[in-house]
Amino acid sequence: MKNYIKLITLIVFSIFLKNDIKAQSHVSFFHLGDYVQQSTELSPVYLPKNKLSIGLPGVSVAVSNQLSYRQIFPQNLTNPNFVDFDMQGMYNAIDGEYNNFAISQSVNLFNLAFKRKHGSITFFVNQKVNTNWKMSKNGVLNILNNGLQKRNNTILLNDQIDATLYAEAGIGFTQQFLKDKLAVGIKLKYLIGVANGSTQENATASVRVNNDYSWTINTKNAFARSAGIDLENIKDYKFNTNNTGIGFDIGASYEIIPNLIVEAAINDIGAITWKDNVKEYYVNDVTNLEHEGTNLRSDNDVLDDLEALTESGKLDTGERKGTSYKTSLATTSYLSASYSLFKKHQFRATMFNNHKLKDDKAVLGLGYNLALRKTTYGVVGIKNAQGEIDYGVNFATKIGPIQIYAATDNLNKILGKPEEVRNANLKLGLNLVFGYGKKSKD
Amino acid sequence: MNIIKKNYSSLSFKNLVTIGVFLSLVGCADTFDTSYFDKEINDPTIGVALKLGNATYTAKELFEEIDKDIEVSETVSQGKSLVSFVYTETIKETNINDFLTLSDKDSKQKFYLTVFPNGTKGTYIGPDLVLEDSKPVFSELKPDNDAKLTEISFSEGTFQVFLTNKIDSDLQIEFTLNSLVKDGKPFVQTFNLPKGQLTPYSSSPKKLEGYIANLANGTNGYNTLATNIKARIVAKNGETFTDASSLSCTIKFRNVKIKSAKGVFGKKTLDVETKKFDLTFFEKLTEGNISFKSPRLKLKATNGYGFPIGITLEGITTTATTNNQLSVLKEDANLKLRSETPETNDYYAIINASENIGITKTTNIEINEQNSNLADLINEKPQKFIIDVNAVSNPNATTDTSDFFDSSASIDVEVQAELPLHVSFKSLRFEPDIFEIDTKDFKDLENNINTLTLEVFTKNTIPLNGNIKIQFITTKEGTETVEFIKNIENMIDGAPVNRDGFSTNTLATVSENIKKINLTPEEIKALNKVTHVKTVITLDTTNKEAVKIQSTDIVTFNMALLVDYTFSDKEKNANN
Repeated sequence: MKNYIKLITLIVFSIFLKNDIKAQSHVSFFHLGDYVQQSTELSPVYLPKNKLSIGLPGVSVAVSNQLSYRQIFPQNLTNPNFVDFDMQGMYNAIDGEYNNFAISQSVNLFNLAFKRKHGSITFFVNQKVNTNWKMSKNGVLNILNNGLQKRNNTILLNDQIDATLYAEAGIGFTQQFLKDKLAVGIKLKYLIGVANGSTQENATASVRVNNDYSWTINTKNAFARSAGIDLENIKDYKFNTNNTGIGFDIGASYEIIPNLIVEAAINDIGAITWKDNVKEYYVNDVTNLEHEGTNLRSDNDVLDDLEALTESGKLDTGERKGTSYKTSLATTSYLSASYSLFKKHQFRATMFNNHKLKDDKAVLGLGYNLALRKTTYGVVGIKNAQGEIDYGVNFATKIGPIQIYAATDNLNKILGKPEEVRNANLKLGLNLVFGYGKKSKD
Repeated sequence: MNIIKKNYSSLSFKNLVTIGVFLSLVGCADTFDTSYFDKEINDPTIGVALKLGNATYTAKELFEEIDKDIEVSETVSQGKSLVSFVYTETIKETNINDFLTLSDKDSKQKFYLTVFPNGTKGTYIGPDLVLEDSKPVFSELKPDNDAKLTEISFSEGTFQVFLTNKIDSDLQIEFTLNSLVKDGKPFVQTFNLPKGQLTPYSSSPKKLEGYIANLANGTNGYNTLATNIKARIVAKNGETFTDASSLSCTIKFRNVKIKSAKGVFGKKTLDVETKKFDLTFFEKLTEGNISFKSPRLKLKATNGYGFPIGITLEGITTTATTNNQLSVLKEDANLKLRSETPETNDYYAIINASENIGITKTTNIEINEQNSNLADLINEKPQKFIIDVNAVSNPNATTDTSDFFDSSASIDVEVQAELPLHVSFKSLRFEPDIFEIDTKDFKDLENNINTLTLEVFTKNTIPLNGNIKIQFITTKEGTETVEFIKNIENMIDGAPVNRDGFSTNTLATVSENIKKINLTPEEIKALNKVTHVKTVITLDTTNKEAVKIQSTDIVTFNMALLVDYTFSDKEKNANN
């Protein structure tokens, strides 16, 4: 027993010491495990406790940002009815070179899960919206922080933005091996892209504010693109399947020693190829384009000279028809170790990573769940993407054929001041479940 | 019902706890204090800087920029070009045709018969006898003044020869006017004069144009016409010949205009126009002291006449209240003390004579701090120079010298006041003209701009410190109201100088001077009313001794506008 505790402690500490956190983790929901069939969204390994589950529409939302509303809009010191728009505070609140802003929403439209003798099979249809913005601290935030008024300052716009609306439909399959100690799960997904807006990778635009406030401008591959629904002519949009792709999730769990299971899952591997209505919004490449103002001894207008920067051969901007391109899904991964004590007390440590935001930090969770036959609930201590400690809760229970589930990673924030929330997530929904055994052997 | 019963019975304490947690989660939504999100958001403000541009001025251009009316030039000193203020005016003589005139003249000659029939005076008795008598005769042709002319060429006028026969015989006269030559040939005409013809017999009037009168004849050698008269007489029986037998000859000159003349003209006054010229540099000065160390008054005289001309320099004055008359202190090649009787302490500027007709002679005369009180005059900051001088031909001439006069020539004197910036300034104030500004754009921006700063970066190699005071003025119904004033001390930092007074700064080595002109929200608001801007520039030289400002000394300006801009469509101060 002591050895198990040491092992768990070792895993937990090694994860926390890595201190590499991600957003949109749904760690609390992940800790519901096989109680809820929607957990297959987080891990394809699903060993259901009932024979058949029919998922009713459920929703999942998650928001993560380094900045809370209060950090952006602090209380005005003289008038309690006002808040300020604190651009400098925003800038200073960002650790590192980027603010990773992510918002995801998913609607589980259809979910059907069958228990097999050594595994499961699931069918599902989901609609998802993922927005990830790797916001350069030296970009827009720098401008807002009076960056254009600071001598010898470089404003670097190398943000990476990807906003995707898509639908997925697929099948999941879990199979146990090695006397059920090893379980391997895989989900195959057919993807239909509806809309995408994204920046070109390695796109940069920089404005160097020189000592005399002149500008030195450099741009390289500075273009963004959109595909699918044209927001300007959304009424004319006709649904089509021109933007498609294939994705899959894979995962595995292994019971190392009795009651100690390690589990890994990698989700949303794949890409959508965008072919429909592809547009590119570009700025031509320029190298060391100087804005020196005008010759003050001439009759030239300063603003005319500024406008001249966008002349052909300089910062030429425009819109053009683009070529097809691919966007990868927002790949995430979970690495987890759980230990079940006396079959009812489940301790779990989890690390979550969002691989879309490569520089983002990992989310770490350490939780406890009381695991009963039809009900489980628990708490999770979470070190979130901002390095703060959050408290998550989860539960799932069955009343008759109806299973209710809900989970959040940020109970403390929900109960606290909402204006100070920097990330939040919530998943809840209902399932119809049938075929529970009288009592599981555990 | 059974299902409910079955499940109800299975509801354990743990299930109740679970439901409780769920209800807490849901219920806590009602406990959200979302009032923070209801608060009004103050308009965000962002700081933006925009480089307006740059300007580079040489010292020469800088002074030109102070006021467009200031004429700036360059003067070489010690092999370097100094900024200087140059004012030039040209004066000419007036009524030059009055200098040498020849009003209508009758030049009279007498030809006495010296050849008699058979060599005997008295009544001739005998057959017809042909006699010939020939001799030169002279008459005076004198101009209206005392000039002693040896030669005249004419541009206009006529001459006509009248002969009266007082000889008791028919005459044939060959009249040769040797002094009047045209195309190398003297005027010659033959007259047939019948006996007893007392009414003058005349030639037709002849145009003088093209003729040259050689007057170096007679005993004095000037102002004398020479004629040769050859008479052919046919003496007839009974005609009487005596010493009184003569021929009267009159040459009438009418409406004569002299084209040119040679001779001795003597000391005569030429009328010269009076001129004033503005010293605009000083017009822009208000307060402070200035000391020009090496001002110059240059006279560049172009003389087309064959005699020297003297200009009386005491006629050069200024409009200053004191120290306003030029005094020359010592002679040099072209500055000569007037040797008149009674003797004066004044000087002539001597303009050399032309050496050949049609070719002018240029004389440069410099009046400077070495030979005059010019520096004192200039340092009084006069606003005008007055040139009211007299011109005299052959000034200080003690002997007659042969000169020439050419009516197509002239005497032009370019007077140039040159003030090289070898100077010391002490709080010298320039006040360029007030100018209008259009602030209609500010009206639109007033609600969005909190502060406005003009940041100026300067590099200076000119040995001048510069302060600027900018007054923002509203004019209404003729009344000026100063809305606010901006003082910018040491807008430019003066460059140090070496022992010779030249700047030792270079753009590569001098450090940048940064000045900020901040406009407060109140001042930005007041800009709406401003109609005019008045600037006062105060300059100080950077050395106790005078500095030399080279035209190539440079000051550079880089300007940027820094604005704190509020994104708002509300009237300022409406909510906060």
